[in-house]
Amino acid sequence: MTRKSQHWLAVTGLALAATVALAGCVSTGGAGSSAAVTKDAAGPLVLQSRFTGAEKSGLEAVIKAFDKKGEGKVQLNSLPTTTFDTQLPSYLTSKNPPDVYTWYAGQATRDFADQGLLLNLSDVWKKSLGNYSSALKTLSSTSSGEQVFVPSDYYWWGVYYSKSEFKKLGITPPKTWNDFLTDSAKIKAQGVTPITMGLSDNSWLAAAWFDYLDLRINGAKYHLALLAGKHSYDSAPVRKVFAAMKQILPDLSPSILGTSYNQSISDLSTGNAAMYLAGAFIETAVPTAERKDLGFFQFPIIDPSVPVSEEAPTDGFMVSAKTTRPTLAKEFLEFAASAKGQSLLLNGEDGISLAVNPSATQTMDALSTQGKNMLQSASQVTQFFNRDAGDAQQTPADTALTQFIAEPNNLDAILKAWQASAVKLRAGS
Amino acid sequence: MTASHIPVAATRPWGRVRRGQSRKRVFGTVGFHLSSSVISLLWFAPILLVVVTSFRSFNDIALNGISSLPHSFTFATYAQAWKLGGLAQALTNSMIVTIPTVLLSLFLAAAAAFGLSRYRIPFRRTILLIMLAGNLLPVQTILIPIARITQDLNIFDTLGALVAVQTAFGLGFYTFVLYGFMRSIPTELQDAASIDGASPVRIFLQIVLPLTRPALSALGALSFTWIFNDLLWSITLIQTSSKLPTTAAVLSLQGEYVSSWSVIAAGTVIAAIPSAIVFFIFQKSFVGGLALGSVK
Repeated sequence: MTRKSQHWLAVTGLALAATVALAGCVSTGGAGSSAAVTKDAAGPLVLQSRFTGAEKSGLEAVIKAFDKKGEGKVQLNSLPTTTFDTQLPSYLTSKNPPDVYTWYAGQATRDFADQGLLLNLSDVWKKSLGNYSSALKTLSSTSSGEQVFVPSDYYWWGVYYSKSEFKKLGITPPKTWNDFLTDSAKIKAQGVTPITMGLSDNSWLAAAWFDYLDLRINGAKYHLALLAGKHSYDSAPVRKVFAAMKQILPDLSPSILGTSYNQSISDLSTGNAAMYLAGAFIETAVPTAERKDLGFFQFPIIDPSVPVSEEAPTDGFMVSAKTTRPTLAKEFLEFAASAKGQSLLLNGEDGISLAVNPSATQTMDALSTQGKNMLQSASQVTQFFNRDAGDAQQTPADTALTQFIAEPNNLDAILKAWQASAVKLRAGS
Repeated sequence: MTASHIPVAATRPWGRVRRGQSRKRVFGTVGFHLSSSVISLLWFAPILLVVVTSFRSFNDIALNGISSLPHSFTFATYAQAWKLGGLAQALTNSMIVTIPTVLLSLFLAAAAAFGLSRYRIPFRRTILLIMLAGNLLPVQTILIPIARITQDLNIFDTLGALVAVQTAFGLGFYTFVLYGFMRSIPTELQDAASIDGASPVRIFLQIVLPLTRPALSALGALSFTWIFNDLLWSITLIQTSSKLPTTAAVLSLQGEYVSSWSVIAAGTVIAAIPSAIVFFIFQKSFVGGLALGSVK
């Protein structure tokens, strides 16, 4: 053995020893933390939220009122939505996770519950949420029937339009799919783009069309089963949905895939585009002067024999299973879900969402009343694609839908690829 | 370039013999300036767009679109960005992370480079290459392991963790650059100091370090912008919103559904100011520093 290689051996050996020693430190450091929690740890309840800027004012009001009650303090961490959504799995699996999180109801929450990451909130439901609808309870429950989610508010989807533009174009809100198509043709004939979407930076908006067409053609039961992976996307019922979607493709602007959300809002506000299938959040995106002119109509009925269901995405809270302050967390959620907490939350939300607590008082404008009535008369409500299917399933759906808009004749390959990636994602989770 | 070319072309009479050559030269000069103006304008256009957007009102952008000509002028966006984004706290956090990191990593890198370049340490090339190899690793692959390690060391969600990680990451590259620079310092200086009885520490602090100043200031400016502009590490290692640095705070101006582009643009302009100041102060050594290590 030469001198050089002896050196090498010594250095390698040292490096290995150091690595082992370090690894040892690390793992012993992690072992001591899993003691059973009997009493709440000291310090404020950490609430990790994805609402920032103007969207957080409602939540801040709730926290302020809760702090005043003297049961404990809440520390609000408002992170950018994009950061929050990608970091949430790391938060939940970290050593000292934040206690409470804002999140989407439905499968998006169940995915975490199935991994044992969420605290059972059944006693909160039993104690304080007795007056909540049973649909909300089902929505907040896992497959084994325990509640892991406390809803805070929900909003509606509709086809938004400008009332003055509709008058100018001679259109009254259509009720059926055939009327909708006729009206679109009429709008197009007058040189206005009938339908717009901000797909270049918000491709998920296309999923609203998929959801609604599927709800109207195949019904909510089929839709939810499809999103849960019980049916294939590469199937006859889904082809029917795409056939309907193909009917509106001529009504989109040719540059729809390159239209930004901001541009689409501006098109709707200036009358370059007539209709926009969107959630209530669109009301705060238009210029303040245009807001009064905004109206929406229920997504048109395609098959009268299919029970009418609507999308009503529900937001709320969930709690980490590893929380060291379970009592305080539950107290806070009970307060947030109470009529008082709900009123504080909703009045900070600028009239674009609805209280889940039936006894909450909320100032309602014409559109929120219309939205609430529409949802109440629905036979069933669904969430939204990513909330019903699981957040990870949104990406293949976006790919399939935008690809279909670009190459509508390539449907076979698109559906095949969609189904394949959906299966692959489910197998991986 | 302007100083040497244009006056020559302008003052020289159009002699018959030299006409072809000087016309060529004029064309060359005009072409050069024209094309570089276009390129610099292209380069500057996005920045200009951000600055212009930052002075427009929400209603203007929502109504006319972001790509239209501005129809409004307001400073309110800056106040809104400052308040909504919590930029005062965020800028403080950024400074708490950036300044110690720059000083610490440059000092450690200089010490390492001094040892490696001035002493016959066995395997010094290997050591240097291993340090550099660390920098070639894509950061994304080690995000989660590092997050876990900081959690187990109980420094997760602290600014100290950011300082530690950023320092560790900078070291390889800074050492490599300083190593090349220090090697070019004549050994005679060091020998003379040794003969006069100076210890290695003294040689390092009083002789080599002052001579390395151009390289240090170039690297300092460079690392300041890198660390100040980092987003990935801060959103991975920090989960308390009041501890987030500027870049993450600007990101949080973007709402889940509705974003006011003018407020985001205003936040971006504010966030760009510290880096810009540092760049202008160190501009000379920054440009000079680009050539560092290219001549051996």
